[in-house]
Amino acid sequence: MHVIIKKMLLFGIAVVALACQTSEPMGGTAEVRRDGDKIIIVDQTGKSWDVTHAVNEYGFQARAFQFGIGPFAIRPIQNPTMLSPGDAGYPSPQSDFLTIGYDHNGDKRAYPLYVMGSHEIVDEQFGQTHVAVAY
Amino acid sequence: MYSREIDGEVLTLSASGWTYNNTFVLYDYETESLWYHLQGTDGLTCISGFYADRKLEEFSSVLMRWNDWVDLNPDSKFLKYPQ
Repeated sequence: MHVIIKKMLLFGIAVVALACQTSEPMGGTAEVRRDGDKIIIVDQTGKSWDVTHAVNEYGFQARAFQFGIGPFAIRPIQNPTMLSPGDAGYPSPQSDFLTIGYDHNGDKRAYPLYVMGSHEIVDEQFGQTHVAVAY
Repeated sequence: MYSREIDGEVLTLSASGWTYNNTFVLYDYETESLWYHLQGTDGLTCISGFYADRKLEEFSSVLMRWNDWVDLNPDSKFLKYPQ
């Protein structure tokens, strides 16, 4: 018992010490460069993003952009394939996972969160209408 | 759910790899404009880039459990897990 309490104390101290070290929020803050009047943030892949307009017109803070894991870390689903009722892989009507549902003039489609979570965007098309499903 | 059509062009939207206020910052492959859902507004606003200040319309969708959704919409199609 005594050993467990000691371990817990040590763990607590370690957590506090770590928290003190990292004053920056989770996800880090963007590396900001200035090029004349331009405000540029640089992501972890070295790609530069001009955020001048966002800062000057919308009050964004350049350093408050977070993560910057690069534009190809989370890839959108392009040209998604849809399953119809009766198709192999169509989920059981009893399954209770969360999904985004959308009805485009009677054309109903479901986008489960377990897929959206790893792709963020589906670039979708209903006839001649192009939409983005976003999570 | 957002429109990705502007001035007769079709945009390919993607995550930019950035978040702001815990919200994904999106961008389009075609112009690398940045798109963001500004708090208290509908749709996506272009906060930087070629389409600065332009908007992409928002369409209403629902977030619900599959069993409830398919009960209401038994003819619903379903996104196949991408290979």
